[in-house]
Amino acid sequence: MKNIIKRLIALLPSKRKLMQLYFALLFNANIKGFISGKIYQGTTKQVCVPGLNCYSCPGAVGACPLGSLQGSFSADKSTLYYVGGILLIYSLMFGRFICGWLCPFGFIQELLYKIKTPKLKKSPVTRVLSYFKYVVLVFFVIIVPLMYAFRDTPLPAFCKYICPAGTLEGGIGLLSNKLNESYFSMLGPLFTWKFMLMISVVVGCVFVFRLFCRFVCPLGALYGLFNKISLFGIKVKEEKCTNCGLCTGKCKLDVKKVGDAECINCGECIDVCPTKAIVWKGSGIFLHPNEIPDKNDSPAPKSHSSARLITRAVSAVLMVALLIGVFAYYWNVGEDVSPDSSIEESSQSENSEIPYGNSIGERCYEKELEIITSEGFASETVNPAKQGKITIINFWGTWCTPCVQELPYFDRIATEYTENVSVIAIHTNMVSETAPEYIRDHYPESKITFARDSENEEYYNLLGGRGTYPYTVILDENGIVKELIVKSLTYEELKQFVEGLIEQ
Amino acid sequence: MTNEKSILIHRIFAILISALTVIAGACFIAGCLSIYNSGPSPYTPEAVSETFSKYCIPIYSCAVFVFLGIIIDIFLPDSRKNAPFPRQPQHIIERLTKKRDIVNSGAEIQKQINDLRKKRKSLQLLCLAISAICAAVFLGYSLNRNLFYRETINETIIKAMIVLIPCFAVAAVFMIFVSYKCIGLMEAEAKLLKQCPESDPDMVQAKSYTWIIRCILLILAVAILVYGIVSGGTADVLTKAKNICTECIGLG
Repeated sequence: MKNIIKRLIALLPSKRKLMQLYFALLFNANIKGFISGKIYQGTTKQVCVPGLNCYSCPGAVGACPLGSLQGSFSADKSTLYYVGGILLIYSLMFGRFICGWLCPFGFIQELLYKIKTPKLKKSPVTRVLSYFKYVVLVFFVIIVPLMYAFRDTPLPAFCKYICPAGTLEGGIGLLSNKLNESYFSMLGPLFTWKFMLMISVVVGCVFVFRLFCRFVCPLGALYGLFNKISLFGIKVKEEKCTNCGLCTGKCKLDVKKVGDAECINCGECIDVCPTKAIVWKGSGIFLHPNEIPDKNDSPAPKSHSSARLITRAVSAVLMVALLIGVFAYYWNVGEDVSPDSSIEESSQSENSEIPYGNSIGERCYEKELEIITSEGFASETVNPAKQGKITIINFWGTWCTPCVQELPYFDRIATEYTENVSVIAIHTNMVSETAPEYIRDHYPESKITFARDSENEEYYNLLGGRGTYPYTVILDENGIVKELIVKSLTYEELKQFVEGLIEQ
Repeated sequence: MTNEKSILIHRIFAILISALTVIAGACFIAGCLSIYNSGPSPYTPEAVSETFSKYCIPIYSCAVFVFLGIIIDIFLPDSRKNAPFPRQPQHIIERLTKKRDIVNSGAEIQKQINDLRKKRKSLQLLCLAISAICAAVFLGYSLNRNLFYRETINETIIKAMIVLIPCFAVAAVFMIFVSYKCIGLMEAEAKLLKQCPESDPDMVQAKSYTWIIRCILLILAVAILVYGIVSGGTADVLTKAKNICTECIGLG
């Protein structure tokens, strides 16, 4: 029995695993999101978390640094300064300490590696492969998004074509909720490619330690550049080092030297060093110094060890309390938008037979929205539900790649079916300052009526939007909802909808 | 159970679960491809559940084997995990012991050297701070002419001198004092360094360069971050983060 208990204790997670679990929970504290199938839309999402954590994950409470960096190339310059500043601070403060202790996706990979299988050891081949992540960083994170930004098309190339964290946390996280059944209609070749890539990474991580971190992750590549000068992490005291190679032999990563760009500062090499040359940075100031015990040294007094125990216990309690507090906060902070009662009351008086709602067959909510022209925001308004003809309402944004790519099809429909169809493109209220310039450059003579959503995207939420863009609602000439489409549309699909309604 | 049998069980288990993991992964990929190739609008909840239900055996078996692995580890621990670290050849052990003895004998002297260096750096920092304060006072005063402007030019000059001279004097006296003190400390350090040949003065130089680079980059990072926040850069980040990027998560 004692042996079994000992073995169970041996299976308990290490301090680093507990820290990884803690931060994974902290960065994904919106438990309500997993239940409701919606992502968190509050203000804490302005802040980038240090590790790789997709902001489309239902639980995510912060933004992804890589996604924000790619998005900043096609946004205002101030966004690039903001994201760049945050990344630089994280790199200088922590370097790849983030990879080893704070990254949720790294935690998932280490858990997968624990599955008992033969493992692929590091070799000169893996060392060469570890340089591939710099290629990913330069090409997919910087060059491609920048190139497309010059064409006014935002394209987060790494997120779109590679990131398995997005597919696993965001895609699978959202699709696994029954309330998001409509998202299945959006799946296509991109999903097949990304799903295959994600499964390959997941299976690969079982055999190769931190496969994604070592060979692909551009965030790790970026942090690795600052690893040597970061404030936190491990370092080697050169005066004590005998170059015996035990540390690099123990390390599962492709390090040439402890603390270099490949080192994730996990600290597992510290105990291996016979001369105790490997220490945590700042250990002379903050931590108990890592010294070889002299035979003549008397053992540390009991008061020191009990003081340390108390400090650790208090820290643990505070951290757990913080985590519980964060969970409680995000559970209670609601982002539900219920229909404005004033809209409902004024609408009810006109026709009480068909109720107002955001489902097919119900009457569309009415609201006056501000029109956007190429000169700016006009004082005129438009009511999408009162056009008197077939109305296609498209919710879009200049920051949204698929929205921007499908607008030409809406423009074509608006031109070809002017008499029977009214196309209203409603830009998000946030970041709408970029819309007039975009319309002036690309759609100066368009038949589309461009409008801006009301504050907090009220009209989008009223019409059943669940956070995905683009989102299209098609109404008949009486303002009854006929179609609700959550994917981007082709010209043929739009034409099919329109001609079907015209025949009716 | 003997060690050899335990190792054999672990090996067989490892091979089995490796095969299952690869098969499960291949089944997931094959399922996805078969759904995609089945025709237009292929991905419906019904199509997905029907396809993956065909491959449920290897997928669920994987999960079962993972739990089995944990149980095997509890009742039949892998004795190879507890094997002692491989012994080093004798000449390496001798080298390590010799190095440790040198390090231990030089540790006391190194400590004294470090203390002297800390004192010197603290004095230099204090000198820098006092000079900065004096310079700030002088600049603040000289940029605000109303403070010392008087009717006659002589009075103006005298008033200015009354402020400038103390600023310079304080800074100069302190700098001279710190310089002489630092010279004394450096001489003491040099004497100690001669007794401790293992210590590397170049390492200290490299460390100060690292700190300078850190400070410069940190100030730059904070400056651009603050500028980004003040200019409204957070709005774009919030817009992207609060709306689902469908293509980012493979929905497309």
